[in-house]
Amino acid sequence: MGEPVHPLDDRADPLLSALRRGVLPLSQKDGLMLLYGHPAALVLGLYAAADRALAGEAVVYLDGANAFDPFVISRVARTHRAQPRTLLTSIHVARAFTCHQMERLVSDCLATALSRYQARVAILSGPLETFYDEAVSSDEATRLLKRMITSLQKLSRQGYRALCLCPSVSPQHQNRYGLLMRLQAAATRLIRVEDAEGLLSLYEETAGSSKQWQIPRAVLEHV
Amino acid sequence: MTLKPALSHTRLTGWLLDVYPDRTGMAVWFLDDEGRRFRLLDPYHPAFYLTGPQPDLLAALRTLRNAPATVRLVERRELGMHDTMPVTEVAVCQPIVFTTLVRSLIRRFEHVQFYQADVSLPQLYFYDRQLFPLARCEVEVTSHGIIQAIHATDSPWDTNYGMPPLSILELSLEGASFNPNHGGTFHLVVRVDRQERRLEHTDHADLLTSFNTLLQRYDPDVLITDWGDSYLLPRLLMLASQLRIPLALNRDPMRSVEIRPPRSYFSYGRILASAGARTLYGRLHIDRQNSFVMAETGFAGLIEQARVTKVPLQHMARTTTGTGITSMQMEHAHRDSILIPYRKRQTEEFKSALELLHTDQGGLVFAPLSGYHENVGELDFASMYPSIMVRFNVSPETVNCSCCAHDPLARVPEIKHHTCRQREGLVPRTLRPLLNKRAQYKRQLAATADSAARWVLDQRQTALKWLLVVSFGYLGYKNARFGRIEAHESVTAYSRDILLQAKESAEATGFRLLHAIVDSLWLHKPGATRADYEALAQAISARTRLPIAVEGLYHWIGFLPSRVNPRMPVHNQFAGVFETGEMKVRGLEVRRSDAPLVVKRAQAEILRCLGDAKTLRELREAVPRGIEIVRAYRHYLREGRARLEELVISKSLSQDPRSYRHETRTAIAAKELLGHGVKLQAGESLYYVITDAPARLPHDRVRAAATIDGTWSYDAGAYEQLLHNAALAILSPLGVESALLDRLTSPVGRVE
Repeated sequence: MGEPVHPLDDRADPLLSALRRGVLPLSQKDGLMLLYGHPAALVLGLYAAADRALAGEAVVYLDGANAFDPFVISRVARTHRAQPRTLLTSIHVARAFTCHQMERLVSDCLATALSRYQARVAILSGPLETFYDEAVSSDEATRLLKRMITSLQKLSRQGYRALCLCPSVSPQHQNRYGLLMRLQAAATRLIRVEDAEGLLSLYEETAGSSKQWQIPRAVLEHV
Repeated sequence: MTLKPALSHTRLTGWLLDVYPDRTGMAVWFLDDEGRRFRLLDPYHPAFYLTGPQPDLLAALRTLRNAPATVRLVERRELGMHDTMPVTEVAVCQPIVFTTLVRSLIRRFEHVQFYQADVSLPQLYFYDRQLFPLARCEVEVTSHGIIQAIHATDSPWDTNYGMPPLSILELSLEGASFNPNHGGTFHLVVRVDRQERRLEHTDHADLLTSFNTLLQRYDPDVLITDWGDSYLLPRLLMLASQLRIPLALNRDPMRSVEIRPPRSYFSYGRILASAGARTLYGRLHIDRQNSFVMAETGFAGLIEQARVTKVPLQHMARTTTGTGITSMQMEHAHRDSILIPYRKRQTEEFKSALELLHTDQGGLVFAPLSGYHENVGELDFASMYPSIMVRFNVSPETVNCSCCAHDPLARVPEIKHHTCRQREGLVPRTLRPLLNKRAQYKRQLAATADSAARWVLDQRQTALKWLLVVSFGYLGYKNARFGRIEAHESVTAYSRDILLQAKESAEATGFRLLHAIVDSLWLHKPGATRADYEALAQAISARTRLPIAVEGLYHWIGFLPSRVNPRMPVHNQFAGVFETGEMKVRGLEVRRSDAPLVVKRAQAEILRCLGDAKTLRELREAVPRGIEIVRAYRHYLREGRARLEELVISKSLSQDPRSYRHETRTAIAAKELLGHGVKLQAGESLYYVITDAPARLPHDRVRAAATIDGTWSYDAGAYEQLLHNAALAILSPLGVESALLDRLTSPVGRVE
């Protein structure tokens, strides 16, 4: 872990500030954390990556939704008066376009990448998106997801933190809803993301906890 | 029809019509030189391969003990690996159970790696026997029709190949302008032997009997239909089933018509609909309305693609062009003992977000200088991306190879990748013959005056062009068998560098770049002649070692600005007239499928009128004539003279029709059709007419074209607005503002 690249200034960035109140920094006990619901969860993942990079940490980012946006990271860097290049070089990205690739990235490549980049945090952006492919049978998708979850749990036991970001299952993929439920059941911390009346609300659903945070929608629209 | 003519000869010459798996081999339909059709049997045993942890592998092999298969250990390679590895080959003696057997193994043994497990069996048969659809063949057969030997006597790479004397029966619907599934009453029309018959039977049994009689009398090799997959054949088969009158659609009496249900799928971020399929055995069914390749390249193009890709004709007609390219890659792999993975698991290499920012870019675009320009030349790189893949050896296994990491000549410009300089990759090996064959067709086209021959040659070269076009996309496509994102990134990086080199060459010789998109450049140099542009093309070719040619010299070309923000240049919207008088248009209504015909016609007339001009001065002088065309069309619309066909707007359903939240015109038309019991799916095209755009009640705003009867009327104002927008796109850079155009073309009173 390196030195923080810049003192964290919550006032400069209300979105990051809101995330820090509830979600960030990811602690070791968070283990496998799942943010699910509103598609803005994917953007929150980018902020989580930027937050760790601002803190001088390396981050491994697996992108299953093809939603990684380096410009968001650059904007966060500029907001915090950090060099975009510094943050961008701290985040290590690999994209998966099929569930077979996503499973393989998690099961076969993630541990090596975390070790190589000396990172403690892995962010999985839209990992289930690749599992909704109708060309892959439900049985096969379930089998692959089970393997992927087992690998994530193993990493979590080794002290790594994994943040999964899963938008709601779209109507045409409702028959794959069970996949999200499996991931929810495996998560050690669960946060639902909802959008209502101009506010993005984050509800802690972890057993024994009922916290709630809100982020003005307008903040996200600037992203 | 003679299904089993006596086989008096042991050696036959003729054409390969159809191939499919049967119980003890592959059924092979053969058309011999005497015009006879035979169903032969080739005792072929397709194979798949297994590897994995020993206990799992042994368990899998134990389950094969009672299966109709033979097992042996062989050496094969994975793509990109230098050394071979031992794998278990399972040859299935009953091809008809191949798929079931493989699927059950995949389901049961998740730790076992499978190869060549889901390649279509006819394709595998073609690879193994070095055959291809409609190949000219010699066959040795027993008196029972069992093939002893079969080989092709022509090559898929021949450009002057003969065509089999196929008998064709066409089946269509009279009165179906739009999708007949959306409603209407139609008559069945049969065209065969240069005659057209309208089957006007009120009694369904009589209709089926008449159709059966025609099928038996003419015994067609090919059934070409309009809406055969989604409408005609399903309804004919349903009637046949209800009335218990067997329909002789198949030539093979032991088989039923194969049915594939319709589906919606995502491609390049858009939802598309597949109408499903009704395919035949021993006879080929092609639905013109459900075939991209038929629409783009015609029957000659379809045959060309089937021959070079080795994808059976019926499948090639319905599948994506990418399936064709994949098949060609799989054949190369198979020939070189490279294992074809069942599911690609190769992952993207990790890169920093900064590296991603640099590598994840497309082709280079120089925004156009908006407005009209005269004496402009266009230079186009020929098949730029495939040429780059061949020239720079870009292939999944050659990018970032272990042997050339330190070779400076192997570096990909701008990004950190390199390509192999030691071994040619699978993708270049696949594309090289395609590029050569297309170049050969183009040379033949240039040397041929006969219009019929030119037509066929053009269809064939267009078919190859499409294969080359998709070959780039498939490098990065998620389901491509041999795709890899780093290879995709390398191609675009090379293309950006090459376009920059071309620009530098042009500017160094006094040309001014007006616009460039990926592989095309529009240039201007006062007084430049065709010879100057040819010389520049040669210089760029010499520098980049990629073929570039002069597409043409324009009298004038207009790079038309954004319709939302006139100050914003748009790179895919232009119209120009070549010195030959030919016009090139992109991004305007005349090229768009969702513009009504009346608007397209008006815009085409305006462009033709402007096309007479040879200079910008003459172009400006032609503007009043263009405005007059708009005025005439507004009158035409206002007087209610436009016909239904001219007004129909076609839109694609971007989601399930029940999921629309807002009352868009497409949603309203979809709801109307759903109310009539029509089944719709996401990605399907809808056809509607604007009846009263501002109406308070949504269902008054538009009507589905299929439900329109004698009581309808259209919203002239809404169509006038579409016409106005189409005209303004062309005329505004010539100084015609919106209010002026409206005033000058008002149907209410003529303004001088």
